[in-house]
Amino acid sequence: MLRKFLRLAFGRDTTETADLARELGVSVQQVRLMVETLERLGYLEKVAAGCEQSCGHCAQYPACLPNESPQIWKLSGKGERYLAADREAPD
Amino acid sequence: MAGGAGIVFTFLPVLVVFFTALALLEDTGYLARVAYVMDRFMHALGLHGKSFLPLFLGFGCNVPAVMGTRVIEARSGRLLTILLAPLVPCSARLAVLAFLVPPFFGKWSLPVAVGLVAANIVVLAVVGIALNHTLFRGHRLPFIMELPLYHTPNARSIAHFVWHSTRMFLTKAGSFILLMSLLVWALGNFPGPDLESSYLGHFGRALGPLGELLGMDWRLVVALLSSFMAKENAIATLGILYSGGEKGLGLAQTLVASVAPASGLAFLTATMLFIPCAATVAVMRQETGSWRWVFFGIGMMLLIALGAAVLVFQTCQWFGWGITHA
Repeated sequence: MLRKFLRLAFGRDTTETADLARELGVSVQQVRLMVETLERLGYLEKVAAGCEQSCGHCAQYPACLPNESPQIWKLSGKGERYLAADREAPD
Repeated sequence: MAGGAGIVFTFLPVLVVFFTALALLEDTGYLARVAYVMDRFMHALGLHGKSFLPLFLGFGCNVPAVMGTRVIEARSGRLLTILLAPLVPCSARLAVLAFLVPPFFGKWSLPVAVGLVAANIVVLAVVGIALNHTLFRGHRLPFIMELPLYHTPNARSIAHFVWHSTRMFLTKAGSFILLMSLLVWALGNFPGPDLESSYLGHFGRALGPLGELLGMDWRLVVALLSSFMAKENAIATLGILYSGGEKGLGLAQTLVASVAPASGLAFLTATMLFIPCAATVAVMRQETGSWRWVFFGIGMMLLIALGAAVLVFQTCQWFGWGITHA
């Protein structure tokens, strides 16, 4: 299932968790769980949503609404290697 | 001099409305969705959907737009977004537009203003596609995104956002722009006895040939150059340089009486596409870590702005549009 998830999520443009849930026929909570598992296994990396530095040191902080940023994940190096090998391997 | 920095404060109502609209869009969770929806368009420009968030921030101010590119991991995508961010019309440029378009274009103000903003976006897209097919060919990875839920905006958060954004603008107007107005006033009054024989007058007339091509007199060219320090300075400088006009007339009326609409349109076109302000340049240097890319960006925008203004004025002249006052 996780393999199918990775293939589906990264075989095209950016995907939203709700769309992934619909296509996989599972709930959004289950997709979130898969993302967490893949992140824990090192296949996905969470991307800082907004800025890398902490808000306390940012001059723009007073005029920022940081709670409304989307959560974003990308493939890690391990994930990229895994998908590359998966594409070359026969089904 | 009061006609310089003082005029900038008249932008305030426009800016408060703009900041409120931006805060509402963000606080309802709509902006995050726009980023997702814009993903495909951004891909065509060689950018990722994540570039949309920093670029959208650029409508408020180009400085956080450039800083916001930190979210983009791929260096090529990040550099491309940094180079494109100053082409997003910031609130200061929009305020200049809001101030100058109505007196020049009357009932045609709305289409002209919308057209100028749309032209900015088209230029951004064309430059993005051109750079993506020449200088930046890095591969860009897709992402998984979880969007925040839609919710009723929080009045307190919005008030906080609008208050701080407005305060930042007032601080800039009361310090930096006031200082620049003082400098322009001094250069325009010394050694005297009038503006034409001042230091600024001599400098402005040296730019005559360029101004002729752009359809602008030297005062408009100087105002355009002064916008490098802060975009609102263009209005502050015009306020000082045109203060010697007919008595009892405000800046807008004096401009309409002395500048042909075609020249006004060329000036607005150049202002909208002109090189980023000093603060944006400083942040571009900080974020790219290279003066080379900063100068590349400045040179590119200078060429685009002047080229577009020449094109606009010469086209108007060719067709005989707005060369004389109606």
